[in-house]
Amino acid sequence: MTTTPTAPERGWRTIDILVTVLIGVAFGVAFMGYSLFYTAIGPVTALFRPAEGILTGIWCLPAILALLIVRKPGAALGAEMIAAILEALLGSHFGIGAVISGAAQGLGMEIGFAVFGYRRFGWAPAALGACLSVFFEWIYEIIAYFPEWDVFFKGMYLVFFLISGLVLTAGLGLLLTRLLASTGAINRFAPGREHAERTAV
Amino acid sequence: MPAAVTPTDSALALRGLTFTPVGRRSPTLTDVTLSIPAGQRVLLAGASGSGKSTLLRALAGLLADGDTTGEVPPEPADASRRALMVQNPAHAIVAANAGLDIAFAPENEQVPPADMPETVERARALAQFDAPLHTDPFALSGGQQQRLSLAGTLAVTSAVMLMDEPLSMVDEATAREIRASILSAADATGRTLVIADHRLDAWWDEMDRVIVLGPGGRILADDTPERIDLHQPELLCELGLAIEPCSAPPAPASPASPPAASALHDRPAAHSSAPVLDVNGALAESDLLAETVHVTAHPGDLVVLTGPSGVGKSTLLRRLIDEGPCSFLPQNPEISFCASTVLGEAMATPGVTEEAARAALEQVRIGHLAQANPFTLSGGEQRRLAFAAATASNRPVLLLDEPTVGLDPLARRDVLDMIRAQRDAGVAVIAATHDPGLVAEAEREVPLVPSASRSDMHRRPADGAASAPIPRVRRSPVVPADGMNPLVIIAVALAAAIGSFAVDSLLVGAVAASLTLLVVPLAARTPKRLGLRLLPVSLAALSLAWSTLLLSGRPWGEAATWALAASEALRLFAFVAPGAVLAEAVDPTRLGQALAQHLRMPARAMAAMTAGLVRVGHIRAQWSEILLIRRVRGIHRRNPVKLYAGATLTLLVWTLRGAETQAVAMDARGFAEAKDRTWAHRSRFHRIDAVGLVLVLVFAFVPLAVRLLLG
Repeated sequence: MTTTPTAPERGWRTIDILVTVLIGVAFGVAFMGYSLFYTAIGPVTALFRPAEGILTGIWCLPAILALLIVRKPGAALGAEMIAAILEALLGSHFGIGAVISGAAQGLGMEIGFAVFGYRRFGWAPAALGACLSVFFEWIYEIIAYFPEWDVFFKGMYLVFFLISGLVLTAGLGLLLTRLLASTGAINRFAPGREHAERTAV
Repeated sequence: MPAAVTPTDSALALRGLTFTPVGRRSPTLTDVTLSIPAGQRVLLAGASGSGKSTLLRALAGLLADGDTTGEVPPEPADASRRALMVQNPAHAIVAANAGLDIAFAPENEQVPPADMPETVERARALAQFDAPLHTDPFALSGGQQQRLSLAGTLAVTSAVMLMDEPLSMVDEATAREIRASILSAADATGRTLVIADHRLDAWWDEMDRVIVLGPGGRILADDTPERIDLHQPELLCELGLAIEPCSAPPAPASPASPPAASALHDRPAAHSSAPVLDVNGALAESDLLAETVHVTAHPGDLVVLTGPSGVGKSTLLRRLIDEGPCSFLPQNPEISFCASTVLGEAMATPGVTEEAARAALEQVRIGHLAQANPFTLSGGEQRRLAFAAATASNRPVLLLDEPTVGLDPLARRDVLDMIRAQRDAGVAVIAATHDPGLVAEAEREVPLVPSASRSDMHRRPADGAASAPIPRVRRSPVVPADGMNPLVIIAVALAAAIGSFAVDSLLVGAVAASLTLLVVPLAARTPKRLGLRLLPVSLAALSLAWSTLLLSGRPWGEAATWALAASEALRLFAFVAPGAVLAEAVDPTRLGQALAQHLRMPARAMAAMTAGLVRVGHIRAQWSEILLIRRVRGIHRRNPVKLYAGATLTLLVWTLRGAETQAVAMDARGFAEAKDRTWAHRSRFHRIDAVGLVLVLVFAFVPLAVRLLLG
């Protein structure tokens, strides 16, 4: 019988583990193409570097997507770590820094959803998770990369991060989940089942 | 359990099974009852979508979630499994080399590592897989990949062999060989054999029993091949599966498709018009082919590129894309989708009006699906949609990559009809294919012959040693850090990160940054690879210097500000560069083994991590393909945001679909129960790791020491 569990299921199916990993890998691959966006906005950010923060939300997408689809504790951290390991192995800008970032972003997202007991997967935990995710990343970056910036710019950086997190991580993450559900690609997961039940009149 | 003995519990019985997967309204299997005795050879015949794959999964005990009523086989009493080979061997790849891939099932079954080489060798020999065991599975030809998948399935301790369309991805000659291997392996092991296929001619004479499935997964016939031939000859014709031509066409012919045989003679004299495409020697200069090829196509022509799998047909096809305006259809139609409705997809190419799009959809009989999401269409409908969308803009040349591979007879006929319709409209069609029917219709065949020096195309004799050890993953040229345990490398990278915090001045920064030189001789494979790793780090450091200069709030005129910016850049370099250089020597296989064996991280997660990370090259190739197709169609040419967003969604859909099949393949090899699994290789520490530990201390404390010394 078809059941949509209301409490988080214990135990990871193979498909749960695999999708968590592959979301990380797929985004890791796509991220390498996104770097051209950073080059594109180069002229603006060269003068006002904190503005680069407006794109940060994209890097947290694997975390939120993994949690929204797989809906198990640890999915966000897993997906982010895989994407980060991939970046480090392939030679990214930040090497081990990418791995630490991944851990920070994944952890923030996990806490956001944990606050709701991993039972709610709507805009509230998404927004909270996204904000915490970018916030942890911000803390890491101002300690490790930008300790010498003036306080004002650190603050602006955080503002850009939070906006980016809400729009690009939470907003885009929820939208992507809905789009994926409508393609039938995630029928083995709760959002896919819910979509199928809604549309099977 | 002793691996050489075939387990005896092979109960394969279903009773009244009806199954409706999530997201479908009607069942995929309806009231299926059957019982297969040990050692029987069964053919499950049915068109695509008839439920063959689902039935195999039910027999394997791997039905996905959905509505299930009726009985499925219980778990085998002797702790064995029911081995299942999935349709596309690329989805079954889980390791970085062939040897480790075959060892996947033994690892899950907790075979002691000392016994694994024997188990792997036995499976390898049964499958007649003769490429070297250290080969990257994704670098194998189609036929070799199929054999590798077969070997991996044979390495499972099982009394049955369940195979899902094992011949669909390869050409005729290879298919005959693989079929022979499957049959001889079943003979040698005494396993029950169940093959699901729509290519009946390949199996008909070899099977003891044929079960015919119809729409909705209903059993329409279940008997020996001879009796079905005798009593129900029209059944196969109705389903479009018949080997011999039927008296009446099985499906209503599309109004647009012309009669086949005479079409060639009716075509206006094509050679009087100028060629649309005339290309010389596109691949010869890269030593892939034995001789230069010449591709010429006139309007209305069909030119086929033929040759063994992996010779370069697809590569040549892609080179032709740059020769002029053309439409391109990849092997997998799903990756070309870029809209949320069928109609939108047909109109996506710039310049296509809604009228033209609707007409194109009508011509391929999917006009009624105009508002559906392209990804929810059936396989055959998707192919027709991709065809219509690619050709809606009426470009003079149409390039097709293996248009009929894996298709059942009805879907294949559709494709051939669509190709004929394009030729009648004056389009020059160039197809890379190994389908003899398509080759027979062509004006011109361009056979590609591999050059003698190509090692990937020529069979090696089997490795002599009876149980050669399973090869470790090696890259070349070898560097000292290849022997370092991945955990030590991570420790060095972390030490560099922590040590860099001591940098507070230009001098300390310079010392810390120059410590990177210590790791360069350990992990620089080639100057180019070293440069590729150091370049992004250097650029990031320079960028940090710039932003520090602008944003630190200190006056620009003072030297101290510039010194600060420089020391920040050096600090970042010291933070990241050592790890970036050493990362060259880390590979997913050894990383997974080290994390699982030393740090006791969950074994399944680590195995899955490795299985995912080894697919990076494959996924990157798909990403490029997705972007290429959008470029050829001219979609979102001026809007990079939409281009990348759409491409990312398509990549995710493709990845998630593959994940479903991959999960089945992994579970069929025992992954679901593998919480405690053994590993083919032990993660070890060598002398070089002592060097690593010294480096940890150096990176962590030298910058601090320098800082304190300078006061």
